Amino acid sequence: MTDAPAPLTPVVFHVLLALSGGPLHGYGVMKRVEEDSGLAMGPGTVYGALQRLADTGWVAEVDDDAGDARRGRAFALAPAGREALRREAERITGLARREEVRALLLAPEVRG
Amino acid sequence: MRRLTIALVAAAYRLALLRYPRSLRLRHGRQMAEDARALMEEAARGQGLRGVVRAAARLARDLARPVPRVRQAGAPRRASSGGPGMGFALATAGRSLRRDPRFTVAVVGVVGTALALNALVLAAVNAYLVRPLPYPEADRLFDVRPVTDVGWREVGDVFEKAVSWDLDAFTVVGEGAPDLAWGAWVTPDFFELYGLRPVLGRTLLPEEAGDGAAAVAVISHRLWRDRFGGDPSILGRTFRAFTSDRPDDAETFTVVGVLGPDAWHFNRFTDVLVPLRADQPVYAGRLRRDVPRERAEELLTSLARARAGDAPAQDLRVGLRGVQDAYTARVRPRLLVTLSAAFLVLLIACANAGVLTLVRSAGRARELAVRRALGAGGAGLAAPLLAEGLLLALGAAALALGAALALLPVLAAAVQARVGAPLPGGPGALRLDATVALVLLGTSVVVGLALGLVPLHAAARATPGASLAAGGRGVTDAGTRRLRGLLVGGELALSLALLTGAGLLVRSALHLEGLELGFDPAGMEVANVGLRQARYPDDASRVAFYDALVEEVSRVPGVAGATVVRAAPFVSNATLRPVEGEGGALPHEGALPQVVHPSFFGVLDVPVLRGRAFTPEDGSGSVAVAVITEELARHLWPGEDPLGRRLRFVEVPNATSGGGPGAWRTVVGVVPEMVTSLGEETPVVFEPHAQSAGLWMSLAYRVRPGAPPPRDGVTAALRALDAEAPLYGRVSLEDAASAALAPSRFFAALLGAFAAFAFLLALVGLYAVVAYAVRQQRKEVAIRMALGARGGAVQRLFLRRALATVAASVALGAAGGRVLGGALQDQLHGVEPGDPLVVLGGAVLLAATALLAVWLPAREASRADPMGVLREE
Repeated sequence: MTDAPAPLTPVVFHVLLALSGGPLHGYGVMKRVEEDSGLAMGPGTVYGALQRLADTGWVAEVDDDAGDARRGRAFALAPAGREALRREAERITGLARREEVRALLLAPEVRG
Repeated sequence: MRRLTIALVAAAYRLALLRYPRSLRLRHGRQMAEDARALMEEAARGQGLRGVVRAAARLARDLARPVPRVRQAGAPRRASSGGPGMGFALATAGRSLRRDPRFTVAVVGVVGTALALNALVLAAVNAYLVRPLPYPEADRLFDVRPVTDVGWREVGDVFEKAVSWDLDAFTVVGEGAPDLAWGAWVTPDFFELYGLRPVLGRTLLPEEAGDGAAAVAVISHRLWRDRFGGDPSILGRTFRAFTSDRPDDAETFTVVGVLGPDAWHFNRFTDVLVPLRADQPVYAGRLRRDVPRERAEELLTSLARARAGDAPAQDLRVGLRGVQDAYTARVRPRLLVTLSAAFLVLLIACANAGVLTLVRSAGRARELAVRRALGAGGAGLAAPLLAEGLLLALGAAALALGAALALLPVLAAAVQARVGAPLPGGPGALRLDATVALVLLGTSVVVGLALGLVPLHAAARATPGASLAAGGRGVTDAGTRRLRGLLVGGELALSLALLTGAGLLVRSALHLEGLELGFDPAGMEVANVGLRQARYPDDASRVAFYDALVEEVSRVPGVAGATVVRAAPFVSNATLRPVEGEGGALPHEGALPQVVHPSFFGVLDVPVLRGRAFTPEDGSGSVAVAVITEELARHLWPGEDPLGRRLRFVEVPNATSGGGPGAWRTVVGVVPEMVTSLGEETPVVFEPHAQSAGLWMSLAYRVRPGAPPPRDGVTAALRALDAEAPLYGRVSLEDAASAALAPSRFFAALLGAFAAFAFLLALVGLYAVVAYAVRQQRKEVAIRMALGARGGAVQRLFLRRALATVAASVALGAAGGRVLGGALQDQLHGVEPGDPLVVLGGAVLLAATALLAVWLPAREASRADPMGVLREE
């Protein structure tokens, strides 16, 4: 990986974040993202992202014997994916530490 | 409805998955379709049809988004991978459609018209049934049913805001003529709950409710404009009004606010809103977020039971009814039937377009064969055809959207009148919003894909060699012929079903038009009169007033006769109540309690069949009497003489005693059946006004034919008797009667128009197919003719071939008509769903015209010069 990889797309970030708690089905990812961030994704976005992530090696399809057959196969975060998520989270928290952002967060008219 | 929508959207979504790369479809396509359905089903459980529509919109937005990339600033996207892309396909499709303008115009016109119909109906369905009422957080607004003894202040555990009200008629007096204004005594949260905001001043304050509340009022924009001339300094001004709450003397109210011109409420009682003084049970409220509906119903039930205490109340169950369900209960079936009919028309139009496409694609077999021979396969062949279908459908959608945009604002007033309920939020609510546009676009995409798949089906079956060998004539294999037969047959069957439904409605409308009203409405005018308790405290004073009013109005020049009646036909909506007759016969489930002046029967030209009408001697001191309608008499005393028998209302509500049986009355006369409202004959029990005088009656008078309108004279006659009694809501009885019949007439005309359009399309489709088949078989016909076959034999040949299709579709269509008729049952008056005249008539009409559509092109073929045809080849 190069020294400054480009930021992840928001969709990919949210999908990885959803999977960081453990393997989920595509439908579960959709629901988790919606609960976490209010982002209403559709199947095309979720499965498109999952497939690209699988191709990149960040996500692996796993068998889920206990799960609901109707939900299909489950997806799990691979070590490389967890690393990418960690880096992205660092990048964002780094941003949040910057003076301008903190001023923005504390400004009363924005807070209200 | 919900399941149908889910199934349709799921099917469309499955097709739309084609937009994604093949690799994604192969690996996850099935799961994606499965999840799309799961999304809609979950939304349906939470929010019903509205949730499904929202989920469908979410799927549509998702389809429009590109497949997400992993990193934000990746390498520039490759242009499409190998081969011609969608742009090429669109360009090819556009060229191909331009080359064939007649086909393009026909398909866009037919499908566009059907889509436009659907857009208009969808907009109405959306305005009434789908879009929430224009109240804040309307999905959590519920009415409490039944109303209990639980007060509006005691339900904080259930409702965020709870309200109660008491409807009232305010007679505003002072300068000028008295005005009657519909209003209500309301609790302070009423305004916030229903989102009624003032343009001037404020609404009511919490401390203004309850005992000894201030006499302040919020008035409607209409009252402000009409009564107070839009006075900008209205705030703080006072007005005097009589109310039924305090009928003894006029009360003075101070205006503290004026509602906006677009304030909308589900009833019209918003002209004067004043603080509620008495402690009242809760009527409605907005549920707390943390209380689910079932829990709320349990809580309310236990509150009500605790309040009642005694044993019978333990069966009491308190329920909640959504405001929208309550408002639209009556219009829902009619709207949904119309929507189904519009959808049938769309199906027929699509089948029609499919037939045209098939006929055209058969002619293009050579073009497709050349493309295949040159190596185009799968996607390369399919893309331009699918693109053609999509272009056609989008053209149709554009036409439909344009028509909807242009027509909806014009239609709003008519729709309100015909549907029978004001549009929620005012006439502007009938508009093309995102929901309607999305559904319409989604539908047209499905239609477009279907139109593209039809020729693809044909192309996939043809072998290049055979098509090329056949030259320009094109060959049609058995599969394509079957598809064509199926489409035409389906069209015919569906249009017969629609035709049957429309026929039933037309017969029903004709039945209502021809109904004997039981009285003569010609020249009759009706207006409501309201009396004040203080001035007319007892029956004697009211009877004296009404007697004087009848006498004075009868003397006005131009008036042929006047009377007084409580529930004027077609004007008042009185409740029917069960009646029992003395002597054991079955009680009647519902008769109209009616109160009339003795002059009623003479003035309205109601013949007395047996016994007598009322006379001035039927007063409060004499025996209680009644005149009843024929059918009611037969029901209560079958085969016996009703005169002299006694009857009473089983249950009469009474504000003070809580209700009980009414007084026994002796039948003194029988009159014919009477149509008073709802377009139905209603059993009536007439009572003389001198024995049941009320404060609110209607004045009815007949205008002498050719006389100048005596309106001012009538008003003056009333004012001379009582200057403070309002006279309001004056209408002509003929207008009221025809307005009451308008919905059924309109509905019949609407479905009739749908059916006529569908019928025409089906015939055109059939004609096109046969004409094409005839053209293809010109050579065969020519050889037969050359060998000595006569024209008649050739025509019979084609008729015989079409007969199976026509017969099958007549059978199917008749069965479909039976189903549609069953769905229409509630809308039908005086005609059964299986009416033989309509069913047989429709079938014969369809069969005859269908065979004509076959025979015309066949005759053409049999007249051609055989040698000329053979030489052409």
